Amino acid sequence: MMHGIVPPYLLTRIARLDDERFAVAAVAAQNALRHDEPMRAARLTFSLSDSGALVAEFADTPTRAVSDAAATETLPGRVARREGGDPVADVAVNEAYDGLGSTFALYSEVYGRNSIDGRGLPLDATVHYGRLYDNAFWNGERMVFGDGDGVIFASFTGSLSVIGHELTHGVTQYTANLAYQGQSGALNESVSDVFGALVEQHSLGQSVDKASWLIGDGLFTDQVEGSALRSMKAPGTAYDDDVLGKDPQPADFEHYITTDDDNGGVHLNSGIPNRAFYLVAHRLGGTAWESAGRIWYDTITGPLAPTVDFAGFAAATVAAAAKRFGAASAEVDAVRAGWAGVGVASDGAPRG
Amino acid sequence: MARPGGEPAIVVTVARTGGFAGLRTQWRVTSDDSDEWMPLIEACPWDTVTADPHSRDRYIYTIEVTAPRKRRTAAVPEASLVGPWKELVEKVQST
Repeated sequence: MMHGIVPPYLLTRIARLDDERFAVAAVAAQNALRHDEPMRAARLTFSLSDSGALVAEFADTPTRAVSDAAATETLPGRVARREGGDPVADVAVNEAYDGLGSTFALYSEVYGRNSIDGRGLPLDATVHYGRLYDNAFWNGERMVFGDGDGVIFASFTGSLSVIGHELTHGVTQYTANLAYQGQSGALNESVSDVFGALVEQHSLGQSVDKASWLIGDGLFTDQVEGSALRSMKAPGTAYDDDVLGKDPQPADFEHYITTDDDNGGVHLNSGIPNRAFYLVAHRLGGTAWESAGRIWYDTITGPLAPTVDFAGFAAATVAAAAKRFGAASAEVDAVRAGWAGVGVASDGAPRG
Repeated sequence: MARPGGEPAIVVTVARTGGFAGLRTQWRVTSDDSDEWMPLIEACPWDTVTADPHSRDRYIYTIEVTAPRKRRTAAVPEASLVGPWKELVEKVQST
């Protein structure tokens, strides 16, 4: 048996093999080459069957490149580690590289999605953006991470849920494309928190009850009174600090915040659908990426209007659960109970 | 140099919201020196702020200027905070 990253020229060669013994391998290679990405990578496993035939199996693999902005605000910066490259001395580069790999693994292994666009899009990240930069963002093409100021925030690559959150903004861009304003914007943010948390749980093999349900665990320095930026389990309780104040996230729809800031409070009101997801996952138990995560993934990849509101999204999750698990399933009951737990109706017609 | 009545001639407020953390930070400067502030304020393209529809988790700078017979506000996405916008925000932050 042999494992390895198969370069395109080798795939081409295998695909052209005109030999009965390699027929299966040739078809597999042809399948891999059908995609029009010139640099598509795949993990190819060779083995011999009982009858002595060569069996080749393909699995998707990421194509990562982590660049270093060297404390400037110029993107993309200099490439510091490419796919398959050895770890480098720079911790942030390796954290980003590994985090992109863990995120790719969740989407590929659990949901069968090949990267951000489902078609093997390269995963590009830049670290060391700006000076003392207190943020991480997705710019429509790449993930960008600051080093933090060292007083309140540490490096943004230090939290796997943050890396999963940013990459999921890319997935949302290619799927539901939720408008980044008001309720649909808060749903966009929540979807990133949901799959950011699931990347971390999947990577650590954590069940619902063992998981922290924190977003940005490890982002704050020791000087901040707080465990993380957000809590999906208990929005509004992630931090309470003299300088930062108290975590302002609402935990139910009754406390929805109306504001002009932050595209209508998208990073605040995300607490409401975040907690709905937690309640669904908690009720179903086991590992969240297999249960509630699958329903949410079906929802963002299913019919959904970009401007959907909380109630419309809730109805769409019910429809997704019914489609996958059956209308009378425990999953449908759990989804309805989750939304009821945050005061959002889920019995409307799914819009979109 | 206070004006008669004690009100400063120019007030510039910068509020930064959004970002991954969703935290709000505000800076404010008051000045009577219009020679120091008005050329930079006038150099900003107040009516043609470039939108940034693709970015997520980036900052938004809400900039407000109050001066005699003049009131200006703009919401500038971080990606568009270049040139005089960037100069103005950094000047307010460091004053």
